[in-house]
Amino acid sequence: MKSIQSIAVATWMLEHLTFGSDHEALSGDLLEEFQRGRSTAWYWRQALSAIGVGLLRKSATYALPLLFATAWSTLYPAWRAIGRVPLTQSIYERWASLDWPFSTSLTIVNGIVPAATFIWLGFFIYLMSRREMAHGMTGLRLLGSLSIALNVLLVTTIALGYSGIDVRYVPRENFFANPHLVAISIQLALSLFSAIICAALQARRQHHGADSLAG
Amino acid sequence: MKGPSYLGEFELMVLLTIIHLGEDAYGVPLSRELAIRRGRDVSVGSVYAALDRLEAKGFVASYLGESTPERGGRAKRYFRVTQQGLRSAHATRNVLSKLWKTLPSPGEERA
Repeated sequence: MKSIQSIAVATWMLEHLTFGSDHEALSGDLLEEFQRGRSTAWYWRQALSAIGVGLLRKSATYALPLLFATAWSTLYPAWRAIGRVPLTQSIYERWASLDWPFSTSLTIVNGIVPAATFIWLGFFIYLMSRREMAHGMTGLRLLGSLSIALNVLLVTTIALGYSGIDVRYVPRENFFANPHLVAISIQLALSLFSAIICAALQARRQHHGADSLAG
Repeated sequence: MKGPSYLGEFELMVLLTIIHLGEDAYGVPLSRELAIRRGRDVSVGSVYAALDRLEAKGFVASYLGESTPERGGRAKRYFRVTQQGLRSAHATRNVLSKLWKTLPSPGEERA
């Protein structure tokens, strides 16, 4: 006798552990085959295989953005070094001499602006290298991704601030030998990764939406 | 100018099976036909993974069809090959045909 309960568990796993948009059609196909005489073991084998394939596909989707975000974040000390030109230094010193609230805003400007522009630059470079993502990217969607990056940066800056990690402080040392720099790079990588994933999900949603309309 | 996109072995099989099935190309008949042609069972998840890749490349398009009680009320997802997919299949066939011509028979000396 076929175990209906066992099939229900496998179907639940299939529909909740495969993240693609096809899970409904896929589980429907398996159920149809099962109703036509396939065994419970066959059903479980197919469900577990589909979950495995789905997880592999998903990890591949996230692997490249994660790799790029991690690699890009290691360039931050170089970005800060480029920013330390005499002109920006003189603006910084002039601004620092001003009274409150201008001097307080300088803290934000000095910490967040270089980090945010660095992340945004990384995001644009990634976007240009991935044509399928850049294709159909509207201004609003772009703004959404950039805003996600900024929000993640702000939240992590506040969260890491309690541990004494300050994104403003970028010493000129060997990157990997300095735990402070490594902590900052994780923060920057997380911010850039969020923006890329946000854009990728939007592009995917748009792609599926266009297909549904075409159908 | 962008060059033609070629298909992998399994993607090509899936694409040709969709063409072969015509209007009835959804998961169940696709997997069955592929299993018959290949002579071994196929994972429906792998078929959907290939279909997803083909759809992302614009080689196939899909639309939701009817749902039946035997499917637990879940809709079928039908696939059809796009013009771009057809062009890619022809381009892949041309390249493979040229390459197959250089295949020596078993036991034959390679030039």
